[in-house]
This record gives sequence, structure tokens and C-alpha cells, in this order.
Amino acid sequence: MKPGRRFADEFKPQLSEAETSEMWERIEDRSASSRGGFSQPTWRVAGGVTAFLVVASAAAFLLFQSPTGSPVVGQVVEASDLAPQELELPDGSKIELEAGARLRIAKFSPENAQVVLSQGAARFDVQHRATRSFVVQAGGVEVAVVGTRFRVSVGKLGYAQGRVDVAVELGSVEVRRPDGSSPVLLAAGERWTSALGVAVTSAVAPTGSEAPPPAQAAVADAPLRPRWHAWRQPKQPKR
Amino acid sequence: MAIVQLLRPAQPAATDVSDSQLAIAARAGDVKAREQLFRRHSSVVYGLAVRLAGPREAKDITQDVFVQAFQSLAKLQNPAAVRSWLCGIAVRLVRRRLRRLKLFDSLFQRDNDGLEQALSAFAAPDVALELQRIYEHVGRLPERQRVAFLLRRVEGMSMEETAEVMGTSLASAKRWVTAAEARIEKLTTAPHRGAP
Repeated sequence: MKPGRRFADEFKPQLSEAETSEMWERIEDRSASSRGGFSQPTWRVAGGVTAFLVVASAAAFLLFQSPTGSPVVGQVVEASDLAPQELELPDGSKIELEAGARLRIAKFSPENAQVVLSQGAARFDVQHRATRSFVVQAGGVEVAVVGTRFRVSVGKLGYAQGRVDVAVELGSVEVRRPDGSSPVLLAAGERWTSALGVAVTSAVAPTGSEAPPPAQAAVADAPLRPRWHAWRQPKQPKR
Repeated sequence: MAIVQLLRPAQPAATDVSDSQLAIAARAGDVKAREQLFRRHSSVVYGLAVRLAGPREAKDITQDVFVQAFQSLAKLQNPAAVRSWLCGIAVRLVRRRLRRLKLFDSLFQRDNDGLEQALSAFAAPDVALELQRIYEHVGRLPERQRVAFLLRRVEGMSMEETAEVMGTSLASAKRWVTAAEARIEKLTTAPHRGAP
């Protein structure tokens, strides 16, 4: 080994944006109970209170998971790797988490709802409310909604790591990027990906006012895949 | 709604805000400042954790470092030195984990999953090969020698920095690094002496 060589400059493992965001959520979850800088004796005194809160949180989580339960701000919902999970918000909006997806209800009020999708994909069916904004954050991108049905996914592996895809089935959404570039307005039948940064007309078909069952929605999205895989194919040389 | 403010990662990092200002704001309870500190230093801490403990442990260690850091911001004496303070926490956590995993290693012959892939993904081939040979032997070192060696030779810290982040005397740090180097040198050079 060469003396004085600094390998650290030549071996720098990086976290993707999605991994960073997910890690921050977990840190925030863990730090939440201790925020405020309690002193050591206070911690001891608060032991019983903490135990009570753990039990109460577990109860709240179970309530949240039930079909009739209301979301708790700050609550994290995670679908298992084997099955999707459905979530109904008090205003009637529905979120279907695909298998392996994870999201957090960052804010929910009559004026403002904010959801952070940290991994996987979810389909949103948002009830229209003129005075309320509904925003989905995913991989550093914000998707603002008025009233619509759309799907957002955060790429996890390989070339798609950290990539955000938005597909609108009904209504319209606005995609905002953190770099200050102009928002992109997506209408029904359009799809956007952070890999390209532009709206692309795709095979997402506008549907009627009735929300299709999840299985049908998945089928409607299926024709997209060959199209997007085609981006990875090397271009044929011109003759 | 502090939680909502906290969960706005889309804002670009404010590069004109110093570590010191962020640390002071974070200590006062500003959650956005905490998030900015995390986003600014998470790669450094994660890289250090990968190089010291391997990819499998690195994410958990990074997470633990920031949780512990935010809980003990009041103890941060020099807000301008946030980065080295975080690295010090990371080193303490790595050492604790290595001690805890020692028994587990001996019982289950646990190998360092993912290190090879991480090396090939993030380092040039010649660097990856050299580091791979080092890591093959580093795992056999006692915990203190292992960490001291990696800080000095892989992280490129001075002996004084190595002693500081390990929370030990300069003499002890030198002794551990020297002992580790002697053993690594012996292990890495011996098989190649006969090579053309």
C-alpha cells in the first residue's frame, strides 16, 4: 500500500436521493419523541410516560390500519412485499399502496394534505376540493393535485434508482422539481419521468368518473412497460 | 406544523448557511436546520460507515449517528466542527457494533456481504482491488487496531485526528495503527513476493 494514500477520496459510496429521504424519515420518526432536548433525569421520570405512549401509538396504528380509521399526521404506512394495501382518507380520497411501497402522511387538514412516498408505487384517487391542495412528494419531486386519479412510483433498483414516474389516469396534476424549473402540467393520459424531465404522452387511458378496481388499473398501465424499456435499447445506426 | 416543514426535502441545500449556523439553529430546535445538516453530511457519514464497517451495517449506523447527534446537540462544543463531531459519533458506534458482532462472527462465520459489490460500484478497478485485499485482512484485526488503521490509512486522517475521533491518546492511536500496519503489511505482501 502506498503510504499516505487517501482511499476515502477514491471509494465514496453514495446514498441515492430516495435512500436519503427514507433515512431522514426514519431518523425523524426516532427523534420525534426526544425532540426538545430532555435532560437525563427527565428521561428517567418520563420512562412511564414513554411506555404509555408506545402502547397508545400501537393502538393508534392499529386504528389507522383499519378501513374506518383516520390517518394520523406523521403516520407511516407500509405495504408488505407480498400484497398491496389500501388507505382511505377522511375526505373519501383513496390511496392504494402497491406491494413494497411506503408512505407517510405528512399533513392532513381541510386546506392542505401532504403525502411523502419514500419507496415503491402508489395509486391516488383524490376527491376534488376547490379550497384544498393535495401534494405528493416523491424523490425530491412534488406532484400537486386538484382532483384526479394518478400513480406515482419511486425507482428502487439499478438504472431506475431514485427515478420518479408519474402517470395520470384522470384529471390533471402539476409536477414541481426542486431545481426551480417551471412546473410541468400533466393531463389525463400523460406520463412524466424524472429521468427525462418532460411530459410524455403515453398509453395511460383516461377513464370515467368511477374508479376502476386496482386490478383493472394495473392492466391499463401495463402497455407502458415495453415503451419505457425501449428507451434503454441502443439506437439503430442510420443507413 | 413542524412536521410538515421538516418533510420538505425538495428545497435545495442553502450553501451560504454555514455548519455553525445550522448547528446553532438545530440546537435551538429548528427541524429544517436539522434536516439540512443531515442532507449535507449524510454522504460523509455513510461513506465512513461503509469503509469502517461494510455496506450491510452502514445505513443503520448512519441513521444511529444522526439520531444520537440530534439528541446530544447540547454537548456540541464547537458548532463549526459538526462534520468531525459526526465522524466521531460514527466511529464510536462502529466500534460498539464491531465489539458486539465479534461473538456473532465467530459463531456464524459472518462474511462482509456487499463490500465487493460496493467496491466495484464506487471505486476504480485498481483501487477496488487494493482495498479488497486490505479488507480481506482488516477483518482479522482486533477492533481498536482495525478502526485506527482504517481511519489513518483509508480515511487519510492525521494521527492526531485518528486519536481524537477514537477518543484516545495520541500514543495509543499510534500504537494501534503501527500494530495494524505491521500485520496488514505482512499479510498483504507475503503471498505476492513470488509473483513476477
